[in-house]
Amino acid sequence: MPADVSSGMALTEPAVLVLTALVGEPRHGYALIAGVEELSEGRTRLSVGTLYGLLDRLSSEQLITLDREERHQGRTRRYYRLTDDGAAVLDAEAQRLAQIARAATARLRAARAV
Amino acid sequence: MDTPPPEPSEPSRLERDYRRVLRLLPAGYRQRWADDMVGALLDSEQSAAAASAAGEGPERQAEERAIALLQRPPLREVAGVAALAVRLHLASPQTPGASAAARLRGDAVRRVALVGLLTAAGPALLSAVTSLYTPVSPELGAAGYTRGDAVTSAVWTLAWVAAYALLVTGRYRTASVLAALVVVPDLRHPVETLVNAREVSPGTLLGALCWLLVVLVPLAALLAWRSDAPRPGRWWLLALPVVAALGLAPWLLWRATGVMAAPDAAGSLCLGAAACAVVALRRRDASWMGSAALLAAVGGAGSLGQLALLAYPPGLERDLGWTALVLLGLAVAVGVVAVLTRGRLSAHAAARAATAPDRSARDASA
Repeated sequence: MPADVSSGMALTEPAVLVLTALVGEPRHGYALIAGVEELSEGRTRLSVGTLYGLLDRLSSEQLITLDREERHQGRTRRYYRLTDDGAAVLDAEAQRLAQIARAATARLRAARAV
Repeated sequence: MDTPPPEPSEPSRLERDYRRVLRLLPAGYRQRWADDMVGALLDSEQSAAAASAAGEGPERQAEERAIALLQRPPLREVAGVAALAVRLHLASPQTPGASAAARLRGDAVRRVALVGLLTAAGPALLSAVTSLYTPVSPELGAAGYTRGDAVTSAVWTLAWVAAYALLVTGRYRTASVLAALVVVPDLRHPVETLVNAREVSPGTLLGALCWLLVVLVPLAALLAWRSDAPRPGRWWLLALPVVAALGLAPWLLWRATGVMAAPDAAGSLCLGAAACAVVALRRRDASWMGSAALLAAVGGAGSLGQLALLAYPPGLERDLGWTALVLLGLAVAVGVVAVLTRGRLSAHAAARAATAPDRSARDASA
């Protein structure tokens, strides 16, 4: 069942990072781990087990989907891509986070001004 | 992003060991995802190794990549796979990629945690209430036990009640942490016994081992309560005062007959097993019978340990010995019923899963 975009339910930080890493291009497992690490400036390094658990969940919520399979060094490598639902959920989450950031910045400025 | 060099034809130590770790995952899942996961791990470890030698030239980086393949999988990667394995083997109705059998197993194990906490919280509630409203006995007073000690003990005991209430109201992680903290004093004696294993009798050693099982299995079962698990039904909350009130039965029996037949923690699990078996037979529910079988195994082992403890010296605490023996018999009976009804209940569960693959959260947790 796709996640309800309007429900306002917050995604976990690793989920947001994985969805963000998938914006614009399909990626395979290692590329996602590298992408998440880069996006988080090294703060989040997903273990492979955690990543695949997360991919299961995001797939079951139809936020991401399998794009293609390739053979790489004798092993199957699967590429994932963001779905339209996934893009909408990520967009809503980004706006929610931005709104919190704006509120925090405004309050800090006001406190400094006092 | 760096491009790793071609893999040698023989699997590296890193790959071999990681594939061994992946055996923790269910076979179907492993068959589908093992290649992907191995590829991701090898690329990830090699890239991290090369990055550690950044600025030292391509040859040095290639050397680091090769060395990375000779290492064991990092602990965090092993832990990540172990967590995924627990999630998939003890699944909830919402766990993606899990089999119907794993969901049934998950329901059964989650219920073991609930019953385990309930059998601790019920007597704890009764004990806290009685210790707060009854004066300290002259014998205990003479030994230096004060009213303040009684209150402290009652508050500590009530932590079991809090852990159970947190679990039933959906705060799974907090409940698990609290239960793990409250259980620490119960672990002290058996752990000390195991440490001094050479100096204690075989009966004491067996008793300590069985007691550890009784304490740790329901605690470990709490791992199956993850965020995607449906909240337990409301009646689990109502069960708490009922179980607390039932705790008065041994006292009433003692007053009426002079027989001391209070079940210990292991005996309470045996009684919980029998209750689960009755519900399983009434509902024709394999997951309830799974809970009954697991509780009977743990409670039965605990009662056996209790008997072993009471056998040294022989004849001591005869009433408690009979109680443990009766409860052990009950656990064995539940085990026999679980074995005899396994085929019928499994077939019923398979038929139910086929007709209603997306069971409601209520059915799963009831």
